[in-house]
Amino acid sequence: MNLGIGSKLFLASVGVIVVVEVTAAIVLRAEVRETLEERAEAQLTVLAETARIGLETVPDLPRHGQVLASRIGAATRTEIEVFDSTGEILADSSPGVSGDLLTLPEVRAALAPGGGHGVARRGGRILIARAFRYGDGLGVVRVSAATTELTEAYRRLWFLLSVGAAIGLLVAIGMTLTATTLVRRSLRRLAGSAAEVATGGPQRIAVDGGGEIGRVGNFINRMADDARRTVSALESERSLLGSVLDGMTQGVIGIDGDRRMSLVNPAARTILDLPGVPIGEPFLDHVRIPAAVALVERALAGGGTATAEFATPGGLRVLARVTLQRSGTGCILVLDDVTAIRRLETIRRDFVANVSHELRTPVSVIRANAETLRAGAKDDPRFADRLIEGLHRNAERLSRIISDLLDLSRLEAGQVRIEPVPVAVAAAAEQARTAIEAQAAARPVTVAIDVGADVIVRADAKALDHVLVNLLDNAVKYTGAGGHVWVRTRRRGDVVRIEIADDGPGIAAHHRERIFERFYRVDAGRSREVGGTGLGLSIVRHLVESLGGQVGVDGNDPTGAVFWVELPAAR
Amino acid sequence: MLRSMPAKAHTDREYEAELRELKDKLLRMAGLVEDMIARATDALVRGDVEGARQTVKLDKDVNALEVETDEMCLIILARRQPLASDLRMITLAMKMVTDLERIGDLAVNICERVIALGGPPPPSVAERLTRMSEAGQKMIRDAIDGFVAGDVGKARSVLGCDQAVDDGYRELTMEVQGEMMKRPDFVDRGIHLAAVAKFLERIADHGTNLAEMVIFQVEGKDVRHKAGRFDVK
Repeated sequence: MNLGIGSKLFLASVGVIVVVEVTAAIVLRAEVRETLEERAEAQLTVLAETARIGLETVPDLPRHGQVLASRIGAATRTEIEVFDSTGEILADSSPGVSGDLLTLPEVRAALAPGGGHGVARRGGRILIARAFRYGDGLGVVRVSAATTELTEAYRRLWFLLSVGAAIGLLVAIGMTLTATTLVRRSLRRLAGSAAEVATGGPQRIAVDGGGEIGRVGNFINRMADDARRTVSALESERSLLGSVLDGMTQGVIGIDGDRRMSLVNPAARTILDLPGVPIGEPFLDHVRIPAAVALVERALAGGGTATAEFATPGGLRVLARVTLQRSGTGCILVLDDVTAIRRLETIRRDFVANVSHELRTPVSVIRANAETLRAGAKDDPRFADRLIEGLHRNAERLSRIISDLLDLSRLEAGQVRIEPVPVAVAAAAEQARTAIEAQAAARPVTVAIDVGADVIVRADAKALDHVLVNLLDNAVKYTGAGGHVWVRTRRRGDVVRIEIADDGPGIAAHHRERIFERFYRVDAGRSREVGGTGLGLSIVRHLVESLGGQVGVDGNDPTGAVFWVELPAAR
Repeated sequence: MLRSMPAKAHTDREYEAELRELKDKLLRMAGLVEDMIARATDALVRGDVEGARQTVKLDKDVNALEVETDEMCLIILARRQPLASDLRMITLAMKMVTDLERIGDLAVNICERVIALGGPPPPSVAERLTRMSEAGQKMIRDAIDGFVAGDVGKARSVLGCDQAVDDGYRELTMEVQGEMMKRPDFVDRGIHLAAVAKFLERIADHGTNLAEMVIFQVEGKDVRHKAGRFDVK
């Protein structure tokens, strides 16, 4: 049962009152009865004593005794019997059969030596026996009265008490009801206000008066204030955390013990190509990369901090690091996009390896030849010329490599000044074709030029010449016998695209991204034998970029490659 | 709080956990297989024999997951006797697992050919093969993503991709044949490359199967073996 505090208070009060009254009634009842009986007994005792005195002083007891007994008995409404110590009745206010008097306890008590007085209660009467001097011995006067009057008096008293108690009870109930109603009302008001505060209503409760209820009201207000402050602090912390996560380039994913994502920042969504808001969804639902899954599993199984690197389906290279959360289960995954770094590392590594190789080869030939000449071949006409020729050729080669490296480094440092002027592409192409005519004829490879005379770009004539010669030379070098090379242009907005296409074997996609790197060779052995320093395309790219253009290569259909150069058109 | 939960709710939670674990195993398998195809293709294009060997080793994990997942499906069927969509999900999971395992085997087959080839293929061939492989990988990825999200649209988009792969396969076969006729010393390599193309084409077919299963599971409609599917075998 769900009793309110008021009802509980009320029932308790009423209960206490009832218990107290019942107890009082029980106690009183006993007390009252005893008192009344004692009073009756005392009265009868006085009467008995009076009778004794009378009986001891009356001259002729047998004759006057009866009269005395009858009159006193009638007057006092008692029964008086007088008899001697043998039990013979001398006087009796209401003559009748009395039985064996001497056996009665009050008589025996009265006749006992040193007693003289006996009391008994029997058959609804109180009996007092008193011994008196009679002749040489004792006589007994017995006075008795019915207790019915007592009972009446007792009942009247009891009735009055009951009525009083009932009135008292009603008054008490009334007062309790009033008191509890007042208390209940105050508490209800307090509870109501507190409920409003809890559910976000008015932020303070009206406190009426001092006292306990007022104090509680104040405390509630204080608690509400504290709660508001805490919420506000948490919100700003959360906002700060959110801003930090939003601004990071590293991806951050929080994974709880259930393998669900509790936190995902925008960078993580980009790196792993996650959909909108995957918070609360299982990690495995969205990320299936075995290395990433294994990393998380190991951490959650108690493995502590660990890192792993893997490729995403989107083609990025990612370095992932997992740490355990400070409290509870769960881990944090931090992702770094290292695609660019790894590529640069590869470029550098390959460049260093390639430079060493490029330089070493001609140097070792020079050394070998010089050794041989010194050892005596210089005097041998059969070999001397050939060796010296080899020395010269490789020295030239070394020189070309070094000069290209220097050009390249100057270009990269921005030290070469290029003055763009309008240049006709058709003429430049013709000039370039002339330059490589011999090599083309030797393969043989046909070079066709299909460029309108009106195609004009802003460029440096020498730079453009260098670019076209290099590209045509490559095309011819890497196209098989009987192959074709085309030079054509296309206009795209304010940019002119010059394409040099061949139908050779072409270049695989993953090489195309890298062939403009210094010394990068697709097929190292083959291209070194056809000559070249491995720096040509690097220089081409830098030249084109300094002219404000772009260079690249695509695959040709069905086979071959298309090198393209985009330069700003001249107005 | 836990004691007052009825026994049925408790069993439901266990059941939910079992279904979740089944899904996890399936996704793990899919991730492994997707990775194997990517690695095999990379090894092929670079002529990376060692990479191919490493990729072959991954098949062991795929097979282990297949066994585990099948067992789990049978246990759930016997113990929970699922109905309606749950039953469809579990029986389809068993079928999807089979397809994924087959895809893993095909990736192994590709790696074996890479080892036999010993070097990279001609650039134009490499290009075609890469395109076919990427298409197949995307089909599998989209089918599995569709399964995860219950996204029928994504699964349907897969069905349309198979044609491009089949076309690519035909074109490549012709190119390789042409080259073999021109250069007799190319025949050995040509045969291997044609086989690789075939494997990639079959991978794409398995991708289509997976997508069809996802559509069936979500819509309850069987889109397999419908007229209009152009069979290129």
